[in-house]
Amino acid sequence: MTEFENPRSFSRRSFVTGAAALTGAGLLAACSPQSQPEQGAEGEEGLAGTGGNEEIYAGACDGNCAGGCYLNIHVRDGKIVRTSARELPDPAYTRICSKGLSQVGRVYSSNRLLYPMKRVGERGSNDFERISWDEALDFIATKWKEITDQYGPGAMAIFNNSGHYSLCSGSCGTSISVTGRFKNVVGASEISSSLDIGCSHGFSHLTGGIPTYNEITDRKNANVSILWGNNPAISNPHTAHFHKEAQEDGNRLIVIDPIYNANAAMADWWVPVKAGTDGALAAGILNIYFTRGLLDEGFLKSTTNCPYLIKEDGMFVRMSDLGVEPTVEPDPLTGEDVPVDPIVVWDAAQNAPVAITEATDPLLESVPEVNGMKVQTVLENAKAAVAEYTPERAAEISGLKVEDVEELARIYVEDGPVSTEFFLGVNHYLNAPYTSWLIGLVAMLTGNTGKSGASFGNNQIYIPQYTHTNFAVTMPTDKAGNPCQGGDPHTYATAFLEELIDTGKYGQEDCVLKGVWFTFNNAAATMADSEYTKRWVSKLDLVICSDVMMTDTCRLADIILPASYWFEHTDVGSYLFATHPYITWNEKAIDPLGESKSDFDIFKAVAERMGYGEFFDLTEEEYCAEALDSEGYKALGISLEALKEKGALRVFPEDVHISDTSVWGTENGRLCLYQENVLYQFGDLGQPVDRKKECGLYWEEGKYCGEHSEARMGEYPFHLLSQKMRTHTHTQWSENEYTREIEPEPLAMLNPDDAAELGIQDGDTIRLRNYQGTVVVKAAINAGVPPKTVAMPRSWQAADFIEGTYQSLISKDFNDTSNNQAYNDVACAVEKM
Amino acid sequence: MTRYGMAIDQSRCIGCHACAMACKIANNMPADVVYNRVITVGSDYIDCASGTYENPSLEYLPMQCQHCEEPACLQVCPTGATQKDPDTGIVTVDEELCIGCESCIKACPYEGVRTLLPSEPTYYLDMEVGEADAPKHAGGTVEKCTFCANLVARGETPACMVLCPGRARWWGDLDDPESEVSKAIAGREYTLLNEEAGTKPNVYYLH
Repeated sequence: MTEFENPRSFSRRSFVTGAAALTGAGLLAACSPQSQPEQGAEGEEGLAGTGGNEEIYAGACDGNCAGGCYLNIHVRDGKIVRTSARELPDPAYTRICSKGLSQVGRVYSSNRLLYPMKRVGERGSNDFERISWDEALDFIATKWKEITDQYGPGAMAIFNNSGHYSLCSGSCGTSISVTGRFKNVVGASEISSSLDIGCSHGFSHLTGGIPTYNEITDRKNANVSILWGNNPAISNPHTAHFHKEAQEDGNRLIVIDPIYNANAAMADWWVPVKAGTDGALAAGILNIYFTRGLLDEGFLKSTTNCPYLIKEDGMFVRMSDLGVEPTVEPDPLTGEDVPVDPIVVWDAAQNAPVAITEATDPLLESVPEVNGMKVQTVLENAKAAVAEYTPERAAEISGLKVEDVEELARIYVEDGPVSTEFFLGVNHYLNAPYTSWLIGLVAMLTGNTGKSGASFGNNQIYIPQYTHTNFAVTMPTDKAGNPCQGGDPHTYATAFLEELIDTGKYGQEDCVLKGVWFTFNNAAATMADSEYTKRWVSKLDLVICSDVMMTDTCRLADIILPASYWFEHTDVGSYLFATHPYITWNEKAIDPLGESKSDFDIFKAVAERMGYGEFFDLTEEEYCAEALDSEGYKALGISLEALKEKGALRVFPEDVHISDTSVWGTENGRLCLYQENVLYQFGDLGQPVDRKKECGLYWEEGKYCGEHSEARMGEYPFHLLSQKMRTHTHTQWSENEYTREIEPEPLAMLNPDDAAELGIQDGDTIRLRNYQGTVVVKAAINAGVPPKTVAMPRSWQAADFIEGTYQSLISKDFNDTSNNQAYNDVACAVEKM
Repeated sequence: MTRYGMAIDQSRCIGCHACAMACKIANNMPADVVYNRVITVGSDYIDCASGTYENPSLEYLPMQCQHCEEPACLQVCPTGATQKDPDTGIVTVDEELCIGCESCIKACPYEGVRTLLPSEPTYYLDMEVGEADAPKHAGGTVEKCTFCANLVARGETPACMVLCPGRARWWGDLDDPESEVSKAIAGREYTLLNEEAGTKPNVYYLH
């Protein structure tokens, strides 16, 4: 029936290398040097070269560590035999890691999907039978049509995710990728992966979401680098050397992390913040700045919204409050007429409320009543919001010393330029939007962005690629010039899918969801609350999954479509995202294994079978050529032709990219410490919202992981804190037996004192359980883990755990306005088995 | 006459295992056999710190055959299988001559750098990977890091040296002051592992 019946046991096909397999001297004699072949002037022959008896192709590692490594794919006798680092134009960026080096273990994994399969048992029973592509396409087209005829095209949704960051896959987002073209052609809706976006919600409030990150080659120009919730030594090992080199050059490297890990070990100063309390620490630093007047008043007046006046209803005073009717002016971006009602501030020079553009010296505090209205400035509001976070209180909450809070505050003011390498460690909590707003303010109010050495954010480069892509490539026309129907406007957030399927309601709106296509998305293993994921998927009428490997998600599908691996088709790699500033040309090194097809060919084949062939009458290369055909790319000298010739092309025009933060992305181009309107990341679905939490500065501890939470005060005293793995990118590589030698199984790491108290030793089997799930794994003692914490990688699939799944312990809850899965906001109990 | 050696800058090692994986693939290594690994000092598990949370310690030790100047394994080998190339200083085991007696394993001051293959080994894939002239892995023999003698013979560097993500590894002729490895060592404090054993190892661990 299926070769995947026992997913825990990989077939260890024994193969004896003996004299017959390797003819010793003969082969040796045939080998000429295999170092990097000459790669100039490839011309029509492309980038492939030969080294001895090997052919070498260019390939991109497209996983979602987002390193975007450019690789040499070494092929012998039609098979990939190894992979190595391929030189990038700036060799400082040339990179590879244990995952990139072990690609052969993925390409030829016994877990590869080699032909289409159809479910023959109950959904989730793991009973599949091999079918032909014709049968698969007919099945999909028939079922899809039945659903859309009855419920409309939006009843089918695309759920793409991060498994394949190339232009011709779905992982680059539906606005630019071939998945988007398919979605628009068939009119499908979409499911938001609802992850990694809690902090960006905070930054939307603060900056309007503009990029604040400088290229990593600028790090040597910083006096201080602070890794805050960022783990380059493990998550982005290719970038660690930039930090180390800057440190050797005199840069002070500070690591704010609850875990003493490889980054902390490298640091000049490790700040062991209590996990999930970074926002309280940042509030404490802001409190120091506000109470001691350490911020530049001129900057606060000219560059922030601190002088804005907040009425008692929480809205800003605008000219209409002074009796001046709004004017109508064209929006500079859209050209549409929009009402303009300028912000009012109190101008000390005129001793009167005036439009912000008329003020020369806006008051920051103690503004009298305006037209009989009591008002508060934004600065006063912000000061009040952080007043409780005295250095002593911030230190107490975050588990640090008062002098640590003081020293961090001092560094940002006195020791700049400071680069803050801020990443996802802070993101995976329900409080992430509040925390990130506060941390961002610490860096930005002290002027530590927008100039050499002063960077804030993470080093994943995607803005240029996103901005410059010719979006028209996803909205094709037929031969008569008629546009495709366009996608359904809904992008559903994961936590509400079951309710949507059950009730036909998404918030207050009537909606229907009957089928989902998972593409490069192992949602069953990576989304919070795996039991919930299984439940809502089980209620659908049609479940399609396309992937290169058999995954937990494939096991829930009705139809599985085998996608070819990254090196088995042509594509533009390192597209969104990459931790280097290049897009790369990915050659087809070998034919697709088995009957697998590229993502592009899969979407094309399904579209054709559904009668939309006219919209997919192009090849992968033609798609890439059209997507790269834009004025933005032309200005950078980027085209498909140039890419094929050069292999890697830089997406920034300047030698070292520095973000421009002279104008922030907010209404008046100012940094904001208050928003008058509640901002919704997933829409207003009628959920209760507390304006005090959403509009101004605010912090609260984690709902489940917080020390004073019901869970941790009660039955579940441990904070379960997920860790990234060296040898996995999410669940990718879990099927690779080479990397499994380094990390063979999931491990729950415990502090030595906790382990001693529970009688747990290295290698013991333990159970973690909480209010919704349980998992059984091996334990390891790690003195770098804080007390009452379990640190554990979660990037494994169900069969890898002794029992249960890690993901069953994670709540699917969202913050009130942000659809961000809170992987680290988890409490659990620990029991020795 | 060349004396090949390595320098590994432990202050730059981030414990990423790229060196170990490059070796594993290039040498077409069997399942559960390695020439080269990255030890987390003080733990059987990777990345687990020692000490206490208030005073933790985390150190990585990339470990393989040290290709000693006066190898203890050389004298004890009863068949002459263990050899030291006079032109390169590389210590190898000739699998045609090795009888798997483990004398070298017992004599070597370094633990875990050799493996006895009790029988024909098994592999993860039913195809050869890595270099076309990767070492044979014959049952009943002892094997260990060869400093990628096959690559060195054609002017390349050992697989583990090709691209260290942390830029922590240096290779070359220790007798040539202009070599990369000699320049990396110059002026630096370093440790030679188990120096007291008197075997004069050729892998330098820089502090």
